[in-house]
Amino acid sequence: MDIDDIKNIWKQDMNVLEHRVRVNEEKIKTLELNKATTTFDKFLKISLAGKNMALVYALISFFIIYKVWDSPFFVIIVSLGAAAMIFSFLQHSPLKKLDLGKLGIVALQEEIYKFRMHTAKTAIYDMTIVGLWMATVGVGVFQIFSGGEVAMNLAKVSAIGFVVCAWFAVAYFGARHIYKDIDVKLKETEDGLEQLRAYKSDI
Amino acid sequence: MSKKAKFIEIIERYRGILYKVITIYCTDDDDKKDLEQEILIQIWKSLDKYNDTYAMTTWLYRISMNVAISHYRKTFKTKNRTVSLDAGLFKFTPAPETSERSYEQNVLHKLLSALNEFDKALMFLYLEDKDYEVIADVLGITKTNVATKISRIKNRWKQELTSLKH
Repeated sequence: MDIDDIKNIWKQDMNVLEHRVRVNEEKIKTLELNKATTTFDKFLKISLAGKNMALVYALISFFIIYKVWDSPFFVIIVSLGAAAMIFSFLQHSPLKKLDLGKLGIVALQEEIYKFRMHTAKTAIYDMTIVGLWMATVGVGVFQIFSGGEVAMNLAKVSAIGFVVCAWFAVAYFGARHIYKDIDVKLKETEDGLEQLRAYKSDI
Repeated sequence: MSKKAKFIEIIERYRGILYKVITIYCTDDDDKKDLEQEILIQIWKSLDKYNDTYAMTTWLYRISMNVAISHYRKTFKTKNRTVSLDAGLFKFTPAPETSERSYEQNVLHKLLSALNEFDKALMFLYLEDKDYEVIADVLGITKTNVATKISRIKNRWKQELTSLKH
């Protein structure tokens, strides 16, 4: 090794280092984008499944209505739950399946933002509707299994009322916690994408 | 342009300089991460004071080298590391990057490692093909001093390389 060659030796070594760093950075950016896509895709799929399940829940309510048809009071109660679920389905109709793999960073950020805004607007309705539906179904089922004598017994009605309120509260606050958690995760995903944008103009 | 955007642009554009400085002063990953953070923090703090009359690369070299030298002194005292060329070559356990290097590149890195933190900065800038004037500006010494020191180190390296051959 000649002392006069040291600059060339150094230059070769540094070129390799810089190339490796560039390759690693590209890999990391791709991984980050894939992670953001996967996270958003998960929540979008859950929401789409929830939207379709609203129709299933409405059908369950219709079945219970059929079973309690002789008791107009309970028909009305359970109908409220069915109507709420149909309303929920219609409210979430703007949600569509997306081909996230084709989206660039900016487009993905926009979709996440739109999804977060939609979820924030509808969260209060969703939580209330879930609680209401569970309460109305609970009442209907109780009516079916108690052989139609619920309305005659004040103690039983009070017990049902208490259970319904407790169930409603659990559903409401549970859903609130879940929605908050989803929003935090999506916000982190959005922020991560914003950092990627700062480093690269487009992928 | 906001300070944050300017900072990101600088780091993105000149990250090669930072990587090289960090690589020559640190071998293990934790050290590299620590030094990287310290350099980035100092660049952020100094960004408002940056004067356009200086080349950005000179400014970045100055900041990163000063931080690296301080960091090296701190970690050297803590870890009590000593490196000798012969010991390094015979007991050398390569880090992931070094295992991909040629023999000459490994020898050069060992020669650099054996230098004190100031001489390491000097030779690094020399190897980066910087003018003596730029080196003097970055390290805060005279141009004559730069030339003298580089000459002494090269002569010492020449002797060490000759003794290795035999």
